[in-house]
Amino acid sequence: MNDSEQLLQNCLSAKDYKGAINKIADVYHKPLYWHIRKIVKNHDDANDVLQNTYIKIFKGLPSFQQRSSVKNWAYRIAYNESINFINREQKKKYESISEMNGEDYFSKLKADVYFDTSTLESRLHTVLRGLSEKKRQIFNMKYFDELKFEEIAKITGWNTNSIKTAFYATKQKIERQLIA
Amino acid sequence: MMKIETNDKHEKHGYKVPENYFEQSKKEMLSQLYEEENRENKYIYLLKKTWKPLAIAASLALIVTLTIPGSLKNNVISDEDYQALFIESINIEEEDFDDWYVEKYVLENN
Repeated sequence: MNDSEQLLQNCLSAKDYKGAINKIADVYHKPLYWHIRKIVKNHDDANDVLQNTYIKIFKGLPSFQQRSSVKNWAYRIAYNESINFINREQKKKYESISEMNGEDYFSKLKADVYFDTSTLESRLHTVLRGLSEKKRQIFNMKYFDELKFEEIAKITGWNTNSIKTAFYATKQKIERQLIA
Repeated sequence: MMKIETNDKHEKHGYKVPENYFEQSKKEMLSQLYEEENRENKYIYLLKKTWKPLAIAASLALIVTLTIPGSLKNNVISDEDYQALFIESINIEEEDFDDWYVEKYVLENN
């Protein structure tokens, strides 16, 4: 357990939930934002989802049983909030998030004023465009968020081995693109 | 794969945020959270403070209603009476209507 996790545990033991949410914000504000941003794509949406994530975390602190780390728990809440947001947004268009295609991936990024569209032609985005939403999420969580496979499994509820397979397949694709 | 700082990675791949976004948004989100909590606490405090007098008042009202004879009696005028009054009211001149109404309806039904 690192120092910040220990400080958090102290706050939780003392039932100091304001102190605990402050510590969580100090450590995870940026990482949670980026985690959400890559799922919802748009900055304004990510901002709203992050606010809801804080509300859920704060309300959940008194019943948090510390069966998982605070990091995994906070990421899981952020992930669920993002997926719920996307599902609400996509409901009219698709049955589920898994049906989102590459064109949606690009058009969502293009629509965001806080996205540099000149990077869309890069090999990474070209490969990500051709992937399923699930594979994109796995790649983003591993590459950008630097989460471990076990952490991704805990956050998403997916099987660790299938996560590993999906990530390495994507990585190989990108590497092949780099060589080509 | 080369390890790059998280921020650099995002910037490198096109993701941007408004200037000072992280500092400002953290402050704003936490203060909104505390405001909401204060509002909820205030509501719970008021509820805790007022539930006893409200419960007593409701109990008293129920006791009065159940024990005082006729308190539940329906004061709604019957259909026959209403028809009779309606026909009679047609013959009343407009200037006499108020007096007639008080005499026939208000006083007789109380």
